[in-house]
Amino acid sequence: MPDFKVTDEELIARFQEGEERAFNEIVFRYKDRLLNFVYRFLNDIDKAEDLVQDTFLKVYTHKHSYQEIAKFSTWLYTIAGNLARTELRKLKRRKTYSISDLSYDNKEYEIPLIDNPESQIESSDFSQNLQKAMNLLPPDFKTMVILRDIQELSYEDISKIVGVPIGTVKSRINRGRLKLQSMLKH
Amino acid sequence: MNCYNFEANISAYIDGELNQSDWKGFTEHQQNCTACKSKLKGVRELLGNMKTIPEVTTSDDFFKGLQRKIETHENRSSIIAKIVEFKPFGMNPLQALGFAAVVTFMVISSFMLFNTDRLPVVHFDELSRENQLNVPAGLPEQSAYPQQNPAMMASDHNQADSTKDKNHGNAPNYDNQMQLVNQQGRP
Repeated sequence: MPDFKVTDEELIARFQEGEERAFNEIVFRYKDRLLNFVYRFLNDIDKAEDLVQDTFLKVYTHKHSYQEIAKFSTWLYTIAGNLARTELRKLKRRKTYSISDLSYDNKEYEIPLIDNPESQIESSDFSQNLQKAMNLLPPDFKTMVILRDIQELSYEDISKIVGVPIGTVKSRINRGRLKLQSMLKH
Repeated sequence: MNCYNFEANISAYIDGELNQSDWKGFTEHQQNCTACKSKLKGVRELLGNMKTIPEVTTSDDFFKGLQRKIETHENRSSIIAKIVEFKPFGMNPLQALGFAAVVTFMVISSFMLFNTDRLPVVHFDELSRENQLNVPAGLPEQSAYPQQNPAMMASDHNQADSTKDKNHGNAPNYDNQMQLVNQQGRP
């Protein structure tokens, strides 16, 4: 049974001292939260799960890198966010290569580029629509909106995770919300 | 407050972070501008809907997969550790590598010094003679290898000097060649 009386910081301290059970407890607490964060970012459940495992592997192998100057959750989300951004970059690069590698015949099956990306969203399901709209946001905006509106983290925590001032976080979240609202309206 | 400022303050208004004067300006603008009012409504709906989207959960194999990754990492680390900890003849890897490099150098250099039997002997005199014989047909030897026939070079030099003397000093004599060109140029 998970012991929620013990704080995250106490758990990581125990793990740093060699208590393996504390690591399992950390994994149990954060696996689904991180999966939701990474899944909304990548839109691929298998890759997202793989990445969450990699995040915990990093915690396991770099446990002594954490110092109690920041919240443990902030550290964890920073690792997951960095891995997710790297993965997104790789996916984009691969996508670019695969499209440029297509022969003339294959180009018939390419998805046509639409000038207005907002009109790409036609699905009726809100969750799917939201996901599609999210994918059109720049990575920084997407990260911040997910962390604030889906993960419900504070502006201060988001600022530490993404490494930008709180004012920038607030303005980007506001602009991200307006953009999403505009895309979903069409 | 104008529409631009209204848009910029929507999240702050929702979060209750506007000060009194900004809040007043915001609500006044909202009452007078239907486009901005609709935007605010849209953002509020979006935030409400975002809280209702279904959450995803990890698969049953999540812990197994993580365990496998940790084991793989630990095995790899132990192999690296073994390599680092490997001490041939009580030396650390860097010393051992240096020792091996010195031994290899000594073996190769001793082989080159003492085992000269199989090395080819080059006779440079014969090579230069062959080069002289290999002058292409039709070319005077001195033009190809002027340095090898100093006597001929000297005679050429004398010839050139005598021509110079005949033609008032500096310019060489081209009379013969000019005549030849004139003859060829005639119809």
